[in-house]
Amino acid sequence: MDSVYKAEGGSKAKLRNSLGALKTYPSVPIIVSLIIAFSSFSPYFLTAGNAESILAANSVVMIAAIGMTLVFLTGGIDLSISTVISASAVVAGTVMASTGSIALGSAAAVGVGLGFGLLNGFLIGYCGLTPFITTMGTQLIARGLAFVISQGIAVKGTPYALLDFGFYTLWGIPGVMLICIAILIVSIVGLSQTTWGRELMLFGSSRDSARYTGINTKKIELSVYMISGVLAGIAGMISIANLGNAIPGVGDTLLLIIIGGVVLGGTSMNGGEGSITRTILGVGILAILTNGLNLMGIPFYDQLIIQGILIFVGNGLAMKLSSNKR
Amino acid sequence: MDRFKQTFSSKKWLAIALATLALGIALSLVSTAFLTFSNIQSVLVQASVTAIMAVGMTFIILTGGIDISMGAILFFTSSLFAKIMVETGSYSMAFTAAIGCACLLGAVNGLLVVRFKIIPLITTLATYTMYRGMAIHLTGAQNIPVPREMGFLGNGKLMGIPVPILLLAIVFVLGLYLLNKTRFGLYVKAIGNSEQSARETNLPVNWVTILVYVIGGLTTGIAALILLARVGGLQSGIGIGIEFTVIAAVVLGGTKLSGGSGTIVGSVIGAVFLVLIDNGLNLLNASPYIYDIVKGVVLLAAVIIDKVSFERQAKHLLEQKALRIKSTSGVA
Amino acid sequence: MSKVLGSIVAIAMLASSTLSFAKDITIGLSVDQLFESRVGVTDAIKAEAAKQGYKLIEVVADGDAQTQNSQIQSLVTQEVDAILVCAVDQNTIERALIGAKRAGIPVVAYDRALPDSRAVDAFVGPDSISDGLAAGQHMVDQLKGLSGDIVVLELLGALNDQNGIDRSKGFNDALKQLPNVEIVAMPTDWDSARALAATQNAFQANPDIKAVFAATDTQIPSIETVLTDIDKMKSVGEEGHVVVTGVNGSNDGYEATRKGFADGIVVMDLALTGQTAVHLATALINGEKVEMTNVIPGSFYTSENIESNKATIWGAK
Repeated sequence: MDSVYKAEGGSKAKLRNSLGALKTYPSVPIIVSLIIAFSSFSPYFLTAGNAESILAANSVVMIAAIGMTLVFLTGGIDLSISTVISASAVVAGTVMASTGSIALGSAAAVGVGLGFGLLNGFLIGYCGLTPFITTMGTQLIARGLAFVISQGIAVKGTPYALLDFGFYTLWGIPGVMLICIAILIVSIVGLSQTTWGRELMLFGSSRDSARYTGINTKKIELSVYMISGVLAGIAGMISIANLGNAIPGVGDTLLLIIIGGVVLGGTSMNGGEGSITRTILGVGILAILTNGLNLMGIPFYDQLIIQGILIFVGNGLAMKLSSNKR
Repeated sequence: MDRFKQTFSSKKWLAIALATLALGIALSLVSTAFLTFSNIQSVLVQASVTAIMAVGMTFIILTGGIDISMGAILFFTSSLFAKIMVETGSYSMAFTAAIGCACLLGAVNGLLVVRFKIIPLITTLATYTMYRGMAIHLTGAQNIPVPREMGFLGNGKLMGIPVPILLLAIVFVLGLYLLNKTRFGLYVKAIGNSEQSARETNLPVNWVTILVYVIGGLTTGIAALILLARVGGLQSGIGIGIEFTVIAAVVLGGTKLSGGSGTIVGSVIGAVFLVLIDNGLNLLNASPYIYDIVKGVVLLAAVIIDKVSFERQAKHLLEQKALRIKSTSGVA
Repeated sequence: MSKVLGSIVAIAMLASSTLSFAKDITIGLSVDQLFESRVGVTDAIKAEAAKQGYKLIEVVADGDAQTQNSQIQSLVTQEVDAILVCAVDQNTIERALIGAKRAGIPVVAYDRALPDSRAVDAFVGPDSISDGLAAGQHMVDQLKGLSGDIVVLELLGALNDQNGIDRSKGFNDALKQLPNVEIVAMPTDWDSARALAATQNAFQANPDIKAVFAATDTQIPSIETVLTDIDKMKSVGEEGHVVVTGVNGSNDGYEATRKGFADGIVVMDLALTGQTAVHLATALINGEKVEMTNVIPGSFYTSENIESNKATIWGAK
């Protein structure tokens, strides 16, 4: 069977393949051009220090974006991701402040994320509620929780070991990014190589066909929201390592960045179209853009305008190119 | 009796109306300050801003779309108005520019949605970011006061009724008429039910879509001026985030996010309901952070109840159908 | 002759080295968020930096702690000579600041103190406790004669903002002088629309509120709106006047006090704060020792003397 596909070997096929890859990942030339442009504007752009700071800062967004990608692939949305990050961070911070144990803190963070994920997944998957409103509701609850527990102030008392981890780098890559990469690998493999992953994509493209083929659609929906919640919990822990404290409002501004990154990468909110690799590129573009614009000294309100245009153009481009592919 | 029940339960805003009533009763039992004329009036005035925007948002959601840039439109409109006021002192210029701009921003949203076929959520996410950046660019993050007399728009009374409530009433009536008594309204609902069929039956889908976003912009512009008048001037970040409250109001009011089904009455009551929650929590001197939790729980409860009653209604209808088939086949 | 020549050369060298020294200095300015009073300070900083011939790189975090972290790291990467920072949340940016310290870049915190930080070399900012105290003290003086229970409304700022917390603390300390006072505190998150709603509801529940303290005077117009609504809009000195004081120094506060609606406001000295921040940075760059804490208390003005002091009020237009 394989030989039929392998028959077309040689350089011509390879070129066609790589051009095809470009179509699937239109973001790559965008990133390359951005990097070239920014490095010509600022001598600091292509430095190790700069790269390190980009990686560390975006690990939180990236981890959450993975969860959001999975949710998008089922045609849903998770508006609560941002505040669940905050709530997990706050709970973990409080636990660590009284027990001094990073392990317990991490368990608490994941627990909170899982809890909200279960709630979302149950309401959306089993009760059939609309994702938008449901996660809007849980977003508010998570936010309230974060602020009630912390009384609005940053939770102090983070164990020194965690703070030091925030500085840790291996071959120039921040430790927090290494965790992010590990999660990325697991999720990419999980999505593309497992039955679950394939069922997910099928469910996203057509709910009815998925049901007819006997896939337990309720379980799939429950699972993506659960994963999204757990990832939000992990992201919450990472934010503590990055910032030194658990901030009750840490996630508030992240929602639009997360959605923007996933959308820019070219994952459709209608479901069935997209991938985690695309999200990596999308988040990457936004991160590089913000960093570069900062180095160029562009005032932040103009940055907002540029971001908005880019999100729109990027998504449109990605959608158009991938629909052309079919 | 059944007939009565049927007409009543077909009113999509019944649920939120009952919920609001129940909440009102509960609050009046808990706090003596609640059931006074001035408090009720104050609740309505407070709700006017989101309620007016909710009318516009209803049109958009009825077509199956959404606009999360409304808060940014409000912010930009307020910024523009304040800036023109302070530089020219001309009310007519400032008002026309503000309302005109609000409609324009709405039109841009509509045009982008129609032309590029990118889903409204993403489109308005992008425009939200852009409009916000433009607004801050315009004013340099300065607070700009508006003249005293402007306060009339927010605090004044005409024939004993507070101006914001009057404006809400006007927008409400116009909205009702537009939705229920014109062909435009029919088209709006048709598009929401199925854009495909609407196109196939040659409805002017594109025009209607653009127009609903313009309506959204227009209502936002009006709301912006009221809010501006009430807080005394342009304050940093004014209006940012308000679109989620507006969307919640519309959904609580019984309008479906998928489009095609909903009422303006429900959206307005929904806006009042949300303010009631705030009002109640304030009167009870509740801890500031409980607010979010309460609103979130209420939102979830409302959606669940709505879903349950929908399922029950659907089941009821199916049973009735089955009964009818049974009876007719029995006779035959 | 050669001596004169020598000194001329020396002076010229000194002048040119100072010139080139000044040309080489870049200050990194990390702003938490852009709003009126913040812009006041940053404008003062920019003016002073320009005067000194420094280059300035400004980054705005738009209220996001993570963004501020990466922005500060970016400043470190760009090898600035000093960093002036107003933290989004005083506990959040420690990691980035330690990075700056390791790179040998002095850090000056302005407006928000970072008491637990291991990396901050100096702080300049308002003395929010004394500001709140001053506003409270004036209120106490106005209410002293009243008998019976007095209800006072306090509009709180954001609950995670140390300045808001401190203003509240100072205010409450002052009010302890009144034996029969009840303070109703409502959070506003620095948002005028919320202040409006909170004031409205507070007056509903307690129609007999005798005084209102606004943690930021930009909320005073909202208070005006509510009092007009319920027909309690009386100027200073009139019968039934509700005492209003606030802290900040914006145009809203200035106008309200000037017209006699508000009893008085505490005006922060933003210009001095900005200048001092740059001076501290200069001193630290030159390796001099500086005072760790440099607080600049505000000045309290009443409707009587506020107009004559207009020039010192940053917000007054």
